[in-house]
Amino acid sequence: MDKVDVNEIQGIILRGYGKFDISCFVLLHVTNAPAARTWLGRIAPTVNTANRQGDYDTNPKPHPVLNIAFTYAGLLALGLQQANTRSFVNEFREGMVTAHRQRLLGDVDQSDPTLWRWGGPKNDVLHIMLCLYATDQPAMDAFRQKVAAEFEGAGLKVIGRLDGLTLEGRREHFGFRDGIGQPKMDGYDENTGDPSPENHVAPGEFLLGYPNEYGVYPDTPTIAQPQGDLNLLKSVAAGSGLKDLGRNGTYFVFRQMSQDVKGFWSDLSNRTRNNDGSDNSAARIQLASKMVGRWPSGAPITRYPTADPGGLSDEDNFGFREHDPIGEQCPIGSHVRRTNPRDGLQDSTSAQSTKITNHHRLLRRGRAYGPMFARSMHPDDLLTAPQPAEEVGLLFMCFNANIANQFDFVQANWAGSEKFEKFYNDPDPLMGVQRSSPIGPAQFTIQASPVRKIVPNLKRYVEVRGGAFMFMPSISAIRFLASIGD
Amino acid sequence: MTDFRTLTVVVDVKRGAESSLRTLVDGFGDTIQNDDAVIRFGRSETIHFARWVLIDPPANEPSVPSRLVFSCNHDGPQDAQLKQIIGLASAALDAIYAMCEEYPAPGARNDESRLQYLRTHAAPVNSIFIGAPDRTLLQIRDEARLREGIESFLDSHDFTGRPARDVVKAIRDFVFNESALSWAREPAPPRAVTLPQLILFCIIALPLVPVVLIWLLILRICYERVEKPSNLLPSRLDPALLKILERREDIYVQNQFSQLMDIKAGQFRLLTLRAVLWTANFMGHNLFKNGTINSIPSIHFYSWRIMDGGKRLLFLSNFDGSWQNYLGDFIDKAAFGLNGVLSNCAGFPVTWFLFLKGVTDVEHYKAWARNANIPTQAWYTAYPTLDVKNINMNSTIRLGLLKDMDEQAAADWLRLF
Repeated sequence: MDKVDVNEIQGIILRGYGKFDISCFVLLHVTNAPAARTWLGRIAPTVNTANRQGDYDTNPKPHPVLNIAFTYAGLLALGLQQANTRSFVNEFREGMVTAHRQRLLGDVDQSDPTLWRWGGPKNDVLHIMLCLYATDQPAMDAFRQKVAAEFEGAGLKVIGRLDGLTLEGRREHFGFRDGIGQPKMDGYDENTGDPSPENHVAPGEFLLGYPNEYGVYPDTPTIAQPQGDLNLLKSVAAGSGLKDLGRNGTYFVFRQMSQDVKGFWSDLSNRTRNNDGSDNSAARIQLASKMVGRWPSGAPITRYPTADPGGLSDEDNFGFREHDPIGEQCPIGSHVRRTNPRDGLQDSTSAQSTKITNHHRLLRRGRAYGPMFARSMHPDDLLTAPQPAEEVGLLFMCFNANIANQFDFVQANWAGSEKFEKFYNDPDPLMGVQRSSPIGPAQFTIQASPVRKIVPNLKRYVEVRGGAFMFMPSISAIRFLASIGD
Repeated sequence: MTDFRTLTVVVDVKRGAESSLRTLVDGFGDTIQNDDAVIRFGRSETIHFARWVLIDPPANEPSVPSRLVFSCNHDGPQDAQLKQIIGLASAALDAIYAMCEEYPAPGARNDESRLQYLRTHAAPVNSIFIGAPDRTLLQIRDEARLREGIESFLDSHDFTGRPARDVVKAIRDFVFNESALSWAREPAPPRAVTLPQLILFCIIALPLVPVVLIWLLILRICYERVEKPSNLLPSRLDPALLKILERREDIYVQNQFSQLMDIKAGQFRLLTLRAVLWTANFMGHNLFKNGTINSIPSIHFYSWRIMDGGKRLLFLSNFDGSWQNYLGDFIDKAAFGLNGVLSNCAGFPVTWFLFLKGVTDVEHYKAWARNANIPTQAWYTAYPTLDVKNINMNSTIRLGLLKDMDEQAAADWLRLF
């Protein structure tokens, strides 16, 4: 496999920025296209790439970095001609909010886009998102001010800001270590000696301009109507001769999801109480871990079925088929088993299951938002800590080359579907439960002998507060966008 | 034994009535699942799925009229089904078919003349598949209630530490003594036995192997190498078409899919298509009896119909989950069969020897498939909360009630819950 072009690809896509604990997402609306394009040309050289060389790797406190993404409305607002936006895929053009996608993603009721804080039909139209990353808050504050100073006269209006952070032990607010189970990408992540080769995925699953797992190039936006400096763009790899706007870029899915931490842990406490009515910490954490599929430490429950081995774990080299085919350790309906079924899909062979799974992988780059309930992030403390004044949750972010077959698919067919595998009414217990469903109250099945245990009447602990489908272009494509008025 | 039938009625639409007919049937489609619908299919105990689809004339043949296709998957004989449909929806049928050719004049409309009309226009299909064969609608509903009853029973008892066979015995005692479920004491209607047909098929097919090989060679050299694929990309699909299609998608556990394709010109392709459809039909009836095609567990019913004298192919399918899931399953698990049928249609991605490549050109294939998708104006499902896996598992649960089980078999059966 040829190497991917790290000098062209924006850094957050491939690198994840584990060293940067603080993040900030600035939501921009273009008010003056020529001025905004000039600004874009000015910041283009400062956009951080996926090249591992340099400050980030050598410096324990690297300088803050910036990445940039655009919505469909944003590309039009910058002056990209309709003929040239037409070749973006339909999902990106119509955006995250349509009546149909609401059904697919389950964005109804309290998560209805009309209630969103950004990205919804009642909000200012998002055009550009700046993603800022820094090691600590003072560095971020200084960096943000420096970036904001550039907005002066740049034809941009700031319409929102989301502050992300990395919680203790890289946990999400329910207290579970997050960001494990990422796919490795051929052409970027070295494959030599990796104990889990089945976790290596073709670059075209996450980047436009490279072959995907089917061995074909993903659908990429091209230039139909000449505008701007076309010398900046290469021709389409698939060979149509058109200039490729998508190459080394990808689609960026962003969803802000609030988490009801108190609700989650009190509900689980109520479901697992001792006979005398007192809270049963071990049973409560075990039930939550069964729902997640990993212990709070991150250790996979399929490997450690009885207790959390403790510490922090990124263990990812495991399957389900051999030792846990029917889910008696890691329930089939748990969050991690249904969003990444690995070799365990019931109606397939191991190899088939791995192949299918790898057609629907996501590069997740999420960050938490809102203050920690408890410094320890221990479930017992999360249960008893006072409710912070501010809302807490997850800024879910992921990259994929095919929104329909990756993000939409995983959310609709695996996480959101009550019929996943052989279930009747088991959606993802963390993120798929709806308040009302024609099928009836949602449940969670824990496979066991001699018979399964049912956790009935699941509650919804997560609500969507905003979101967008964006395009994160290559460095050259950013420079091209800056040139389209010329 | 239950005889599942696919009833298809194809009629010509009166000139000039096309758009009002579309609006009318679309309106029926909006309410067809409701209890108070004009079309009261919800009261039928034999209709599994039904739909009306309007088919435009071929692009270059304006002399061909638009057609209205009614398709219905049902239990029992065709005439009885037609009579029931007339009883449930005569007013709607009158409104719809008055806009079509040859429908009885207002004064001449009665249940007999309506029946005569529908019967006359009933049309055969070339190939069908049934995901839960040999089960009536009533049986599907009964078996769903049986499972729910057992689930509640399990929820209200603690069997921790008990041997599996004890639990099975307790379940049997519960079911057989529960008046609402005690019907399950009787064995399920037998499923069709197909071994003899299969053996016969092999005996006949074996000498044909050299013919097929030569046929495929001709296909490769004279056709596949020179035919042009459409190379349509998903991004170039018509957004207006997608909007219309999506309006009726992902509302229930199941979805519908209507697809209309131009068959490639010439007798060779048409003959190939007929042969493949015949074989697929035979295998569907005799081989894929467990609700799966190549382990695709998500299809309730589908049918293929060659129409317009061999010029077009109509595919109607009722399946579980989203369109992406449906197509992805086929690409990942049944590329072979899909190529065998669809590569005989214009614009399909290039195949090798009929069965290879093709759909694995996944971006072009998905765009091609979606582009051939036509709007279904009205669609009815009798069990909008059950998928094929549920239906088949419910049947397996029921069969287990009457089976002798050792400890291992009992443990396996209990995992169905």
